[in-house]
Amino acid sequence: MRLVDAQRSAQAVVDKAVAEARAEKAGVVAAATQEAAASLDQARKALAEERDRALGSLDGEVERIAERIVGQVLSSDRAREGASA
Amino acid sequence: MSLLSVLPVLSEHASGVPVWSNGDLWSLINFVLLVVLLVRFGGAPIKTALEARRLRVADEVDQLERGLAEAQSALGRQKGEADAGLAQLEQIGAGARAMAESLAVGIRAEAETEAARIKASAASESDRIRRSFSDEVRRRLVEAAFVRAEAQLASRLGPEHHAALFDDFSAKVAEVTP
Repeated sequence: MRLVDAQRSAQAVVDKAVAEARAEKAGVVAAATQEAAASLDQARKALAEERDRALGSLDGEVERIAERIVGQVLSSDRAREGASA
Repeated sequence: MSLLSVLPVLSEHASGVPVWSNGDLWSLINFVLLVVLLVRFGGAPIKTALEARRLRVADEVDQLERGLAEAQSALGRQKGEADAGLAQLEQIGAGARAMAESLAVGIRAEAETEAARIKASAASESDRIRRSFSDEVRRRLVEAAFVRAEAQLASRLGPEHHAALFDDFSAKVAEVTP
């Protein structure tokens, strides 16, 4: 009888430890999820601001690329005219 | 009855009274005769009975001693079994505590792994958003550059060149790096 009681007590000890560990795990995972969500939201906002700033300051870069495109097109045109001549 | 009791008998004999008429003398004779008969015929049976009684008592003592020894042995066995039972209970308890600690450590490790995975997933998602925004900026930059280049070319070249030039340029657009 005492052996049965001891086995039940041992099982109860194991069950209690597992339940506590699982509760601790749930807390850790929830905290990590919350922290990750907050970090991701903050990163998304920062990146959006960075994107908006980049889009707002594209004039100089647009002009430079447009000039390169125009240069490429005119060079191609001159090469075409030279080839036809 | 003692030898002193004979003295009155002798004194009566001396006074002329017959000795055999004295009652005390016959009592003395009876006592002596009883002692002689008891010693002659009763000594051996009494001795035998006493020896038998002594043997029975010794046997009972031996039995009691054996019983006591067996009881002590049984008590020792019971105590040993009780000690073994207690040791087994302690072993079960220790095993349970060890198993509980092991399981808890494993679950905590799983929690840490899960937390690290969540953080890594968030970092990966952040990188994906960063690349997405970067691609969007690059795409809108190229679109705006094409619109502006098209406007400039429209003012410099005649309409007859436009289709051929842009077809030619489109083939090379992959070489343009912003």
